[in-house]
Amino acid sequence: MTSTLNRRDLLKAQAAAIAASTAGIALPAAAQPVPGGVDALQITWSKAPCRFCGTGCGVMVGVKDNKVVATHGDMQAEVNRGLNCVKGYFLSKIMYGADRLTTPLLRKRDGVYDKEGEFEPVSWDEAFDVMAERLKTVLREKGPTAVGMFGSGQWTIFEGYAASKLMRAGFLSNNLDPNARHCMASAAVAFMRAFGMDEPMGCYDDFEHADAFVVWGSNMAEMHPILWTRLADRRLGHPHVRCAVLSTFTHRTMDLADIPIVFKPGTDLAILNYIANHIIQSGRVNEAFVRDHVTFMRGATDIGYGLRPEHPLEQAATGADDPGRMEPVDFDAFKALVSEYTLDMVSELSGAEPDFLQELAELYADPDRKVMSLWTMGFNQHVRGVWANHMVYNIHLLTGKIAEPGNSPFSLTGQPSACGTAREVGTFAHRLPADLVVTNDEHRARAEEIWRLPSGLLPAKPGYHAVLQDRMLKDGKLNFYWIQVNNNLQAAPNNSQETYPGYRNPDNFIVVSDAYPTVTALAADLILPAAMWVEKEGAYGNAERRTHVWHELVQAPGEARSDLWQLAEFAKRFTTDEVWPADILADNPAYRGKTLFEVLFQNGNVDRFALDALDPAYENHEARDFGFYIQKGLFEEYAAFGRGHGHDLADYDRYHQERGLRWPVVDGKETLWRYREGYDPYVGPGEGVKFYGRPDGRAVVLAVPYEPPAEAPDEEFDIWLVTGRVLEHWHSGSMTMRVPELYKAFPGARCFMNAADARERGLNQGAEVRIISRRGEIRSRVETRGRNRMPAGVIFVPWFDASQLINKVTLDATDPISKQTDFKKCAVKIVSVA
Amino acid sequence: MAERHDYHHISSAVVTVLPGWATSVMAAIANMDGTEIPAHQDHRIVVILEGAGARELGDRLTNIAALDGVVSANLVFEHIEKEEVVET
Amino acid sequence: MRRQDRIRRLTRRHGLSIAAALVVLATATTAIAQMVPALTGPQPPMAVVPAEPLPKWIVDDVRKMRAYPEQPPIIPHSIEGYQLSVNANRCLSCHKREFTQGSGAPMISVTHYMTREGQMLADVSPRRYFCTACHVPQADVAPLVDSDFVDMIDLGVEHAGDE
Repeated sequence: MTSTLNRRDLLKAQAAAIAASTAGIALPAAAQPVPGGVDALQITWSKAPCRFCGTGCGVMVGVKDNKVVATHGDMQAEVNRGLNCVKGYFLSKIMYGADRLTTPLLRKRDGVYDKEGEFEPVSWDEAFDVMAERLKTVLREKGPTAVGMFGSGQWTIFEGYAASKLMRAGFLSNNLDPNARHCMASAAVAFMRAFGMDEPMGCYDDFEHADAFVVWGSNMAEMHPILWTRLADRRLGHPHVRCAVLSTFTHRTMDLADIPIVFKPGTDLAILNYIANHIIQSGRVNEAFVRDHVTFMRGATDIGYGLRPEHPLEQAATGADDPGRMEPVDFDAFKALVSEYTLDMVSELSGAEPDFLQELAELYADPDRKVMSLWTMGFNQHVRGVWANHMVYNIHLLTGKIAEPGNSPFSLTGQPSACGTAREVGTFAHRLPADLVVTNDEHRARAEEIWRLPSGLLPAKPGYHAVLQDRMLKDGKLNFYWIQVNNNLQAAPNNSQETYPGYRNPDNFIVVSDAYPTVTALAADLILPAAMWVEKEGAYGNAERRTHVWHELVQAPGEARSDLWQLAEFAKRFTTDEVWPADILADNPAYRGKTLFEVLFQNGNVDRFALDALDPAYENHEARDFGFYIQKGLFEEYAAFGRGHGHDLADYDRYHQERGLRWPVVDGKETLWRYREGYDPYVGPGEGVKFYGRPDGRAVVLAVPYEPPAEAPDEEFDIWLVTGRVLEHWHSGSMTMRVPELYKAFPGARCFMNAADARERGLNQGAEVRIISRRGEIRSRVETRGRNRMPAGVIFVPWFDASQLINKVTLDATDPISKQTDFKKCAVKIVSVA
Repeated sequence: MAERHDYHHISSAVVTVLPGWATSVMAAIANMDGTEIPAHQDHRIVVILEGAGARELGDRLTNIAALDGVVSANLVFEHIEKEEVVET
Repeated sequence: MRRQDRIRRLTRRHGLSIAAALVVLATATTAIAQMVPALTGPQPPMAVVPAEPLPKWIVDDVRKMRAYPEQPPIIPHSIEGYQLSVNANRCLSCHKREFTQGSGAPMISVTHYMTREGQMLADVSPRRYFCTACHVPQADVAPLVDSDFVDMIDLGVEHAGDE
C-alpha cells in the first residue's frame, strides 16, 4: 500500500504545483508533501500558444528533465480560459514520435549526391554545401525566377520574416508563398479589396455579445472546437440566441443549428445575394451607415477558374485576363443585380428549404439582432472565394452590423500563424510586411530602408503562387525549391499530375525541412531535420490579431535545428557578389564581399540585442549560436513596418509576459474592435466609423453574381467530392497521427457517403471502393454512419491520411483573384473494389 | 478473487481574499476535513481538497467561497483516482 | 456495473524507452524503408494502395490510465449513433452527476461545472456541453509509430518507501 499513498502524495504535489503556478506564487518547501519537496518533481510550467489551429489557445507546458511531460489549457489565456480540445490536450506527445528526424539526409549514390540515390545521413556542412552549390548553379544559369520557397502559417513570425528577407533581398526572388495560399488567401484578398487592410475588425469577444451566429462553410465544432465552446456557451446559456449553419453536408456543427441549411456545392453565392436582396426589399438597409461609410463597386465576371491557361475553361472565360477588376457603381446598380436572387430562384438553385432561407435572411435583416458571421474553408477554398467573402461583408455593411461588439463578420483561420506569419509578415508571393506589396515602388523603398539595403534591390514582379509553383516545377522553370513547415505533396491539389512530377523532375533540387519523414520529405532530394514548437523560441499570430510569444522549453533531438537557424545559417554561404546585380554593387560598394548573413541579419537592427537581453531562465539555441538575441532583433525590425500605420506591435519583451496582445497595440493597449471610435485609436473623436485602410475611408460593397463551379458531376463522374479535416488530425496528420490516442481516435481516412448512394452502387458499410476522377484515384472504405451525414450525390474524404492521398483526385482549379485552390468541389465516381 | 474499489478525488483551488482577511480565512479552511493549504501569498491561497466524490469537493469549495472575506474560490486541477484493494 | 482496470500502473518504463531509442539509432535509410505508408505515403509515392478495413472500436469499458493528470480520459466504449445535439446529450445521460449512481459511469469532473469566468454552476457548463471535442473513443489498432513520450512518474521521482 505504500505505493498507493505515494501516488496520492504525488498527485497532491502536482495539484498544489499547478494551482500555485496559476496563482503566480511559489510553494514553500516546508509545505511540500513529497519527499524532497515539490522540487523533486521538477516540473517547470511555462506558457505557449497551441501548435495546431488559428484559434490560438494558450497552454501551460510542463517540462521535466528536458522533456515535455504534460500540458493543460492556460486559465489566464483570454482565448480559451483553461480549455483545450483533444488535440491541445495531447500537445505533450507531438514531439515524441519515435521517427523524429535527427540528422540531415541526402540522396546519394556512390558517396555523392544523386537525384536517383537513396537517403543517407550527412552532416549539416555537407547538406548546406550541396544545397548552396545547387542554388548557385541555378542562379547563374537561370536567374532568380528559377529559385523558390514554400513555407506556411506554421512558421514562427521570425522564421517567416527571415525567409522573406532571404528570398526577396538575398536571392532577389519573390517566388515565396505559404501554404496559407491553400487556406485563406481568398479571405486576405477580400479584406484588402473591401477594407484596404487585412484581418478582422472584430475579435473573439464578439462571441459573448452576439445574438445570432451564422456559420458558413465551416465545421467549427471539429475544426475550431474552443471557439465552438464559446459559441455553444452563448447559444445554450441565452435562449434568445440563434445559430444558423450552412454547409454542403451535415456535420457536428449542425448539431447546434436552429437553422440548418444544406446547399448544393457553390450555390452559397446565390444564397448570399438573396440575403442582400431580402434586406433591400424589406426596407432594412441601414441608410445612414451606407451613406456615410460605404461605396459600391461592380466586379469583373466570367473570370475563369485559375487552371492552366490552355485549359478550355480558361480559353472560354471572357473576364479571365483581369479577374480582380472593380469599377464604381451606385446603390441602384447593386440593388438591380441582387434583385434576381429571389427566394424561389435561390431555393431552387441551392436545394435549400425556403423557410430556413427566409429565417436566415431575417437574422441579418432584423436591426435589433447582433450577428456574428463565421467562415473558413467552405468560403475560402472556392473558385469564387474572394466573392463569397465580399458578399458576406456586403450583408454586414448594408445593415451597418460591423466593427462593434457582437456585430462581426469573422474569418477564421486554419494554421496557428496564418495571420501572424503568412499575412502580417507577408510571406505571399506579392506581399511585404504590414500589408505592403512588392508591386508598389514606395512599399519596396520602405522595405529597403528598414532592412538597410541598397535602393532598387528588391524585385517588383510578384512571384509564383502555390499552385503556379507546382506547375513551374513540373515545367522545369523553377529548379531550386525549399519547403519548410509543411507537407505540400499531401496538401496540394491534383498532386499526382501537377506536384509530384515537379519534385522528381531531374532538373530540380528539392529541399524539405521537417520534424518527421512526411510524404513530401521522402519525395525530396535533401531532408533537413527541424526543431519544432517549444524546442525553439517562437511567436504566432492568431485569427483575432493576437500576437503570442513563447520561450524555448526543451532541446530539439539530435542535430535537429529550427527553421530560423537553417535560414540564417544558410545565408552565411553566399556573398553579395554571387547573388546581387553588378550595377547595384557598383553604386553601393560598401556591400561588396559581405555574406547574406551579414547584410540581412547583422545589419545593425537584427543584431541589436546582445545575449544579456535573454531571460536567464530559458535556453535559446539560436541566440547562442549567432551571438545575439536574433528573435528579438527580427521582431523589432519587423515591427518597424507597422508602428504608426495601424499595425502597431508592443515591445517584444512584453509579449513574454502577456497571453498575447491584439494589434494595433497603441500606448500599451490592445485594440479589440477596429474602425470604430472609442475602440480603435486610429479613429478620431467625432469620426464614428472610419474604414481608414481605404483612401476614401469607405468600405466596398461588391456587386457580383453567382457563377458555377469549375467541374460538376456528369454522367460518368457522377458524384461531388468535398475534402476537409477531422477534429483529431491537424495539418496533414504529420504530428497528430504520431500521438497514439489521436491516431486511434481516427485511424484512417474514409469515404463518408449517403446510404442510398451506397446501396445504389451495391456497397455496404466498410466496403472498399475506388474514388476516381479525371486526374487520379485512391482506394478508401465506405462510411455511411459516421459523424458526417452526406446528402445524396456528395461524398466527403478527409486528407490527413498519407495512405489515401485524396489530392490525387482533386482539381487544381483556383479562385482567379486570390489563387486559392478549391478543394471542395470536383466530380468523381465510386467503383467497388470487390 | 474479490475486489472492491472507491474513487478518491484530489483537487486544488486558488482562493482569493480581501486585504486583511487571509489569516481568518486560512484558519477556517484549516478546520475543514480533507483540506490542506500548501502555499499562500498576500491575498491568494492555494488549497488542496481531497475526498471521495466530486459533490463533496464541490460542496466544500462552495463553503470556502461563502466564507467572509473570500472574493473567489476557483478550482484549478482535479484528478480522480481509483482506490482499490485486491484480495486474492 | 462496468468492469474497471485493476492494474495500477506505477512501474517504471525505462526498458521500453530504451527499446524505442534503439530503433531511432538504426541508420536513416533502414529507418525510412521500414516506415509505414500511412505516415510516409506508399512507395512509389503516387501508387494506389489497398485501404485498410474500418477498425473496430475498443468497447471493453476498462478505464485507461491518463498519460498525465490533465489529459481528458478516453472513452472505453463505442459512441456510434450517440445523439449529441441542442436537445439531447446521450453522454450526459450516464455521466452526469444525477445519473452516475444508476449508470455506474464515472461522473464528469467538477471542472466541467465551471463557467468561463471560473464560477461553479449547479449543472454542466454549456461550454463543456459537446463532450467529443475532448473525449474520444479508441479504435482497436496498434499505434503507427512508437511514441517516446515519457511519463513524469518515470522521470526520477523518489517515492517514500522505495527501497
